[in-house]
Amino acid sequence: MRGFWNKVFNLEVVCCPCLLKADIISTVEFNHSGELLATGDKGGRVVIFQQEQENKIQSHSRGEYNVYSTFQSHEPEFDYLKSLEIEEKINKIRWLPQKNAAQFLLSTNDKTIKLWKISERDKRPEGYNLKEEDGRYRDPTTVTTLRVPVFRPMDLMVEASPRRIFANAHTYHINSISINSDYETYLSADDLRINLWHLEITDRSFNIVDIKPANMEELTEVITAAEFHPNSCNTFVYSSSKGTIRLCDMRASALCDRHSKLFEEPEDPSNRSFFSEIISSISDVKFSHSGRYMMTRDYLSVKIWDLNMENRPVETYQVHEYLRSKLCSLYENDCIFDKFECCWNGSDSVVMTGSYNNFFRMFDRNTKRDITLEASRENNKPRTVLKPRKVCASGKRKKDEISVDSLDFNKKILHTAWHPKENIIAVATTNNLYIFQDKVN
Amino acid sequence: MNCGESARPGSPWFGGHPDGERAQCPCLAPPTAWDPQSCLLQFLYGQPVVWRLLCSDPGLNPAWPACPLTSGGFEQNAMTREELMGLNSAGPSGWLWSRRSCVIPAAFFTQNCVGMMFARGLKRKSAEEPEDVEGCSAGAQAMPSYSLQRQSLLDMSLVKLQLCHMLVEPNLCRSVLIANTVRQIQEEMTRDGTWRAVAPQAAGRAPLDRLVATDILCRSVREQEGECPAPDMGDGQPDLVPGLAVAPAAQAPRSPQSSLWEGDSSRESRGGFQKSLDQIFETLESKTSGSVEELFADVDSSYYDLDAVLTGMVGSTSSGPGSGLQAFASAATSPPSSSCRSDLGELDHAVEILVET
Repeated sequence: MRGFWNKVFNLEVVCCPCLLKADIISTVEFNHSGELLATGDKGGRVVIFQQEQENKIQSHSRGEYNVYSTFQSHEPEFDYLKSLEIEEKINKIRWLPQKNAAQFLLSTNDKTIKLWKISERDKRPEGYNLKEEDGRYRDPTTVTTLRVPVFRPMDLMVEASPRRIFANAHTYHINSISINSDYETYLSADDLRINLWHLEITDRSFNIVDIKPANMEELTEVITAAEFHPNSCNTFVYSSSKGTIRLCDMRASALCDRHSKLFEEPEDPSNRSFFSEIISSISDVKFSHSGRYMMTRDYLSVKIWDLNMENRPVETYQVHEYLRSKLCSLYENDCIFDKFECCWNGSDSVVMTGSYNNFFRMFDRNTKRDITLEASRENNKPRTVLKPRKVCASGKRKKDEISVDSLDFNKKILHTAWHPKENIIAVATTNNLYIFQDKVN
Repeated sequence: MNCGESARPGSPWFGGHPDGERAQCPCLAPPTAWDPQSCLLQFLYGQPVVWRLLCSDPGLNPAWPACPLTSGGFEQNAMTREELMGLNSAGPSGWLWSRRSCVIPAAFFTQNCVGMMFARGLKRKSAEEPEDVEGCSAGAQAMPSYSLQRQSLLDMSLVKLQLCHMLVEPNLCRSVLIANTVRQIQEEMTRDGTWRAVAPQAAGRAPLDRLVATDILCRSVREQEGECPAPDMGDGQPDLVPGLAVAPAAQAPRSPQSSLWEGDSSRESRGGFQKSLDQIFETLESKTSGSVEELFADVDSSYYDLDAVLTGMVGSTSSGPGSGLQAFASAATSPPSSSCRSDLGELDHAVEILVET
């Protein structure tokens, strides 16, 4: 593979499978091989895209992603005890590594996690003795000979079936699920608690973190994200609304209320405002593939932490610093509570996150270069190269720059995903999914 | 999107979702001169039985008369869900609501009204008076003073907390962050000494020292009787606010109303602010149906607050930090009965419709 980053970042639009019956996309996730891309939406549906097998003739491009399977994962429910509706919105999808022909993924809404099996069927049995081809039963007296049914090829059918339903373990809204590196257990985190499950056991889970105060009046901090370490099956982290990340070792005690490590950057007193705490709230935490680093996303920045250093991050990247002067407006219109996600590329050299106005940002950790790109239908036909964007914070606006005041805060990119092996990214705007790949000459 | 364009067909979200795309109708597009009156607020009660549509002063925007709910001028309607759903399918102008939560249209908050939302609200009511609200923009984009900004932020945060309270599915993280912001402001105001607290009688009640001030302040919002006068009212009576002509008959039913709140005695001692924090967090706990009723009883009062503040019905000519909170005080005194109706002004018309629940 040629070097990914040329002098300037070149991202070519591969395809743009815009979800026509648009419901708001709420999560995007590649599977472990990158062949499949799952999206969840507010309507509780999961849509899986599959990468076309590479066409040997068109060797200049990798395969495009086409719809592989669509199914309804979660339905809206009503909690009669509290008189509250339970949204069917899919908060997270996590793939299990493939062990056999079928694919498995976990999808969760606010309260219930489901394990789905996605399997292909491309053959069907024909030649039953007692049944007609359409399924009706034959009159046994008309059967004069016996034959052995055979499998014949049929059009590919992809079936999704729920295999496990992990319910009734969370009082608060689930914000994260993470599969352990042992591939047998996984954790689910809500605002105040984290539970550990075994994939085979649905009627029990272990509570491993509980930060609910005895008196709810004293509640000042909630859990915002949690993830297992990619290699150590006993280690996980969880982030909080106060901007701290706690690393816990499950070997230390059954209830991991005492962290092994606490990652927190001291506040910069010159930037202090009433909104300091809100913008320090961490919306996403992701381990690097190597397991040595972790990345956190707060409102204005992305921080990379070395697991061996707790007192400050090793790298900080400003995503949209020009919003710092607009925090009050963003508080008014609630945009300050938007939860942006972030992701690593396969080699942990580049990180990516979303912003407003359908912009997304990439930061190369080695060259320290960064780029802002836009995911929008107007500018991008397939095969066009994305043009870098620039936001003008103040003063004279140069040509092609966009001023902060003309940013559209309704167009936000909260969910992005990076192919685990190749330089293909999936970017979700409110209703559309964009897939980009790097330009291969 | 054109005015009259209905939401996506088949979508369970009639007009948008607070977290996602906000469908915008030009009716709600921010006008060049931002005015708090040209906004549309929809509320959904915890139980999706009654939908309440508030629309203020359509005359400001010529597009409004096209909206059937606003024809005839300043109108508020209490409609059943079926009626409202029927309307939606006919494609009225850009409603922004979801079946699950109340939504304030994105256009209501423009990027440029930094901390001035309430300042402008104050200004509008006192537009007839020569003197301006302190620090409020008088045409020019003058930045309000720090204390006014801080007060605006506090008001806004309290309103947001009330909104959280009303949401069918309260977002705990957001509630906690807003509550922490309020505490932070209140601590700073206490340190500055700008927090006017009523000292002796209430001090003993609040369990947490640092929340004494808020305790008193917000209790005065919910209890109109003199046992705990509003701290920002020099004359000691929170119910009579200049500019807000409350008919005398209105004051009679106060006691049943307050007894409704007083019934919730376990929370009383912690004060109104704590009460709303409690309620926010306890909404998430299992509740008996009885206490759910109490919860909704308080939801009513919070509507007064929200409406009073956001539609600029502060009703006070006095400027300064106290006035925003005065809105809470004055709004909360509105009567539960519909006795005062026709001869009241715009403000009371609005408040009375709210009361008609």
